[in-house]
Amino acid sequence: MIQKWHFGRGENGLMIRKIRPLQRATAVCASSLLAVSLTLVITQPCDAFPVDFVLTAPGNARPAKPEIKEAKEAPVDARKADDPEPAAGNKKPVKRGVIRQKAAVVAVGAAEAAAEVGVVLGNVFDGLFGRGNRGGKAVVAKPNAKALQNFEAQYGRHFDQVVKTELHFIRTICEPTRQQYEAMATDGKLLRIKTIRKFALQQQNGNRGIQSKNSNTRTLIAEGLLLSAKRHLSADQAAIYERELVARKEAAQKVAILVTAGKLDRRLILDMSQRAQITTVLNENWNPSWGAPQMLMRGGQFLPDIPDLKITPILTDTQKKVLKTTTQQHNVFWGFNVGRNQGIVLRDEEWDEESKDEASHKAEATNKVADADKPGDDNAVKAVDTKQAEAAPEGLK
Amino acid sequence: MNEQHPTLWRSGLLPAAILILCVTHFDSVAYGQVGWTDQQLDQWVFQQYGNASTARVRLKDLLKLYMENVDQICSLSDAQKQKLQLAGQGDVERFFRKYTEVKTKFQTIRNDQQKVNQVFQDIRPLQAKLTTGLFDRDSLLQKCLVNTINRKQFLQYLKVDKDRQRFHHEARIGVIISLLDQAAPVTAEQRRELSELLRRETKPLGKSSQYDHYAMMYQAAKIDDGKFQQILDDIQWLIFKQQLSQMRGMEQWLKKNGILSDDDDSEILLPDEQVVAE
Repeated sequence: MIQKWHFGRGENGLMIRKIRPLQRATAVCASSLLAVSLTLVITQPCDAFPVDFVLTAPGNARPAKPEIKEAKEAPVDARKADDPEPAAGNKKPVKRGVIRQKAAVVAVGAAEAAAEVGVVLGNVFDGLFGRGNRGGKAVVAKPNAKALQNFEAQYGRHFDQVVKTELHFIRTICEPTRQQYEAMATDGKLLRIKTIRKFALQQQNGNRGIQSKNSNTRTLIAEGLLLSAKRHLSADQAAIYERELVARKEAAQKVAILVTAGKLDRRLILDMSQRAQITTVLNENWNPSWGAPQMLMRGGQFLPDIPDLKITPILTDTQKKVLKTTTQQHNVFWGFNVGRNQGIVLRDEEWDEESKDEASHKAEATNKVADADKPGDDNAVKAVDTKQAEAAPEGLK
Repeated sequence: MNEQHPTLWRSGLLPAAILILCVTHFDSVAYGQVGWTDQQLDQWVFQQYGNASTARVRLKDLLKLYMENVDQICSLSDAQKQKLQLAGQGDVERFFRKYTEVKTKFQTIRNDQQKVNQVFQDIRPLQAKLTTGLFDRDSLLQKCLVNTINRKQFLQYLKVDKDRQRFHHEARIGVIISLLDQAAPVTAEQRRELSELLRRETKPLGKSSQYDHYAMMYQAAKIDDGKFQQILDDIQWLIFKQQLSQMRGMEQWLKKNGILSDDDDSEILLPDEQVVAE
């Protein structure tokens, strides 16, 4: 008979004794599970994939691990998970990810104190079963200093640019005096800090519980600067800026509607009349969260969550059938948007000394700009960085 | 023997060895050294469709949609419908033949991570084809359509097709301006002037894909800088110029991924017009 061995507690402490096959199988399964959990925790974060795949397959599926069979059990989510487009933001976790997270939590629980396991598992249950909190960590209300510092280091310059370009826009259209402008620039610095804190907090919370409509940094900063304009500029000047903001918003919505109708047209091959009807329906029922700039640029495969009831009456039976199979945006969060102006550093506005006392200053394009890539401009970049650091409150430094 | 094992256990050697074995084994499984599955290949190729059989059904639905659309515009005869249907099915079969070739290649090298990376070069055109649509200008269906319908039907079809292209073109122009607005805001007047300039200087894309934006930016990058500088101020132009210059270097990438093609500028021609053109 083949002897089967098991570690058990005997008279002299731990020793090996014979066990039945069923017990052995159970023990093997348990140890395997533990080993899998440890392996996943130690060696592999949930989203770790071969780097070259991710880099060489823009917009395409990236390879997942071959042994992950669970993906097949959740086809819709798994399909979405293979598209890298929404990778910048939060997306509905796929079953594969959830399973790995569960495994990770189990492994951590085995290794750490029972109290911590309780907290982690509690958050996982919160994430899985309610409160819109996915991912296994509790939503916090205040960004921690380290997260804020990292966020500032990574994105601070982009936020700086959003504020500067917006202030430049105000200077161009409203023609403020230097004093007015500087008062608004001070407000802009505060707005920048406030917005950075907001997005750092969102990022720290894994972008959970937020809407895409809140992800546009420029909109938030422009809204803040409008209040500042009303405080520091004349009513007429502020009205000019307000009109432009309304026009900008309308233009953005019009484009988003056109793009969305275009996506539907590509999928459903609409006729002219259907296209016009769908454009009207979208216009009447538009939700700002459907028009994230990233979705306009990269979200070719995704459609916003347009209620089917609004569209289906316009479609033929075949079109309805195809629409049912179309991937919709669902809870995809596209990440916050800072505009595509990376690699450029803008200096502060410059003022002509002779005209500084004039009530109405004609904005000239006196801004000198420095391209971060150019070798001779390092000092300009450093100057901007130093200025940012000085302006930042203690928490951001 | 029973006395030896407790010693090993107490010394920690045995548990450590077991743990290392387990971790090594499962680690190798998790990292793909065992091999990628056919299902995984299907997910890479068919993406939103998931697998080959679902994709086949969806492509048939798309063909049906396409046929209905052409029929609505051109009032096709039964013979014309049959011919176009066959051509469309040919496109579907041609796609799956290429997929089968890639799959065969994949199955021979699936255990070699590096070679699997190379197979991705073959997978990408299939993905692009599914995204841009099987029944585009290069398709058998389109070629057959030109040779099957009469001149009157063709002119009707062309009118609808051009209208559709204009619609999409307008949306793409809007996206370019909207993204510039995000990076460096422009006034309503500048927006209008930019729209006019882009409408004048760019052409509707022959193919549609999720990278339309890049293809349009590539076209915009070919416009004379002075025309943009007349509309934008220095700061706006600096930021937009940077976006455009990024696109200038992307021609090869756009062509490789089927987003741009050399015959993008060409219009659909009737057979007699093709002869004249040649």
